[in-house]
Amino acid sequence: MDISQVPKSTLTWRDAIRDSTFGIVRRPTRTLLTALGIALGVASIVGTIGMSQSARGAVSSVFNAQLATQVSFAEVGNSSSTPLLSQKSENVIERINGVIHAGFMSQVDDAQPISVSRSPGILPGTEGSFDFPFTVATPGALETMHASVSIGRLYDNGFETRHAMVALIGSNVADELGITQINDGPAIFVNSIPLTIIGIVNAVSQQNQVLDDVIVPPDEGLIVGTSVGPPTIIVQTELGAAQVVGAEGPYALSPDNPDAIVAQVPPDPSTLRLRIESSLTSLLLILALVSLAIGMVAIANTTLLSVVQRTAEIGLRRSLGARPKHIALLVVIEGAMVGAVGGVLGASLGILVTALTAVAKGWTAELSWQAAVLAPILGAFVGIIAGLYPARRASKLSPVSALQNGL
Amino acid sequence: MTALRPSSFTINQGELVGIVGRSGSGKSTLLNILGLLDQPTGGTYVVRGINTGSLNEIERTSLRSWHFGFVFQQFHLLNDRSALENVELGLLYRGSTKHERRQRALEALDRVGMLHRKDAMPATLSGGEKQRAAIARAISQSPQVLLCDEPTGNIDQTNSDRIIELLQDINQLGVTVVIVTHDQDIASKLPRLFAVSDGIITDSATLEDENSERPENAIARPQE
Repeated sequence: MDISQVPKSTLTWRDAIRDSTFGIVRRPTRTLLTALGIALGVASIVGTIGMSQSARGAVSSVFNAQLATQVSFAEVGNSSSTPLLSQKSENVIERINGVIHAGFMSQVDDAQPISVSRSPGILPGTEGSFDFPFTVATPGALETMHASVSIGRLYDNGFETRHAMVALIGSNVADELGITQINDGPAIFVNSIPLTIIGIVNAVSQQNQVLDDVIVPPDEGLIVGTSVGPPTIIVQTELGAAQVVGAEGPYALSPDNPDAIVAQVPPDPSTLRLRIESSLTSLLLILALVSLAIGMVAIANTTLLSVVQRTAEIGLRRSLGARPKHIALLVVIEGAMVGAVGGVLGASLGILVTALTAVAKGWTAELSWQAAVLAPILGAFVGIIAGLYPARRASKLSPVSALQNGL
Repeated sequence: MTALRPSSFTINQGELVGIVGRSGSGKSTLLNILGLLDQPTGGTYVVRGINTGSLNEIERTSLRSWHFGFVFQQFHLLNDRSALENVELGLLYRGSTKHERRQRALEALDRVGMLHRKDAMPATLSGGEKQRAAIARAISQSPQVLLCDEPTGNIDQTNSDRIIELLQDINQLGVTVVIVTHDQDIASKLPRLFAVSDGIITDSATLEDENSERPENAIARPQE
């Protein structure tokens, strides 16, 4: 007889996986305890990713509420003497879907401030002329920029209709003029025309420069001769509508020459939030990877211990015809399975942590499906890596010593 | 240290052979060499015309798998598998299908009278039942040679007799059976004995040729 006539010992992948499953299923406590290390590591990673994504979502909401809903339109390259943007543009823009408020405003160039005098006799010692920038803003513009006053009130369309000759001043102007209250009806003189101050604007959600300005309705601006700034339409949109409104606005405002209108839209919130969260995510991911490494060492230790405990079994398998690589395969597949179990447990735990954190913080829980699906694969991969050394040790055991020492 | 001294003998297919000797005399080493679990440092061991000294690890393992079955004193049943699953393990490395393994395992359990206990876990089996399951695992492989290392060492006398009878039955089917034992009663039932003492192998067949006594006296008693 020739050795070539003897069939080679063989083990199919299917049988190897089925055989390894015995060890996993029939010893559930050991499997779960071994998988725990991997589970914690994977949970850390999934939780970190989930919390980061949820936090980014929350940051995005803030941006949406504050910045990402603000659009402005200005003229560029308008060769005509007739401005393309006017108070009527407010109504045009407001007809676009997604627009909540729109307002017309115009700022005098800083280089050409309007001379303002405060009314004499009210606050002795502060008489004189001041150079302040001047802003013309419709009531709609005030509403759009969420202007609020520390004292007094904003003007509305009624003031404009009555040509009431009123003005608002920014809080910085009030400081400079020494105006702290308006009960006495303080007035400023612009080009010798008196304007009654009805309120001090101390906060806006956009166009922050108006806090340095004297703000008047358009008609008053015309009267005092200040309508010299480039017109701007500012718009507040619904969440998520800014990009669309910015794209459609020029066509609505100037159908004949939309290129003459430029829209300023907020940056894509996703870019911003990615930038904001990236450093935090990196830090948390490093911690998660450390956890996973600890889990890997734990599974390696347990697998090594298992190899020692199963020395007799390894000897038996060798006597039954298992080649060294079959023994190694058994150990590695078991490691992979334990890792996969740990991955599933970890993914579940990570999702739970993400959800609970989101609830506690009032965020919307967000987690990419890839993170949840890839977690068991990551666990299996870590299990394989952890099983390599024990597998090598197991495959090098001689059948005789394994049978004798494993008793 | 020399475990076994040079010796030359032949075991023919279908023989029932005993290996006897004191503890540490080298009888298990001889059995391991016969079963290709161990390699001699010198000499030649030929199995069915194949010089095993020239085989690589894969070839040795394959020859072991296809020609030898093993029965151990400690049974070596896997505790997390039923008797049937343990027997099926004997055919795992043969490339046979699960269905084939199941069929042959059931036949083997039937042969050793353990079919009714096929689903029992090892922890619930008596010593005799465990050894019969282990024998079923070995014969499921249809080995040419069955190597038994103290097969009755861990079971009572009644079961011991049944095991030996079972091994004799298997031998009657043409399987070479080699039994390592230190039990004089068992040795007396075996037609040919190898006595191992201080590494020296004495073949009863040779002694009989010289009209000498059978070497049962060389059998060791368990050390008190």
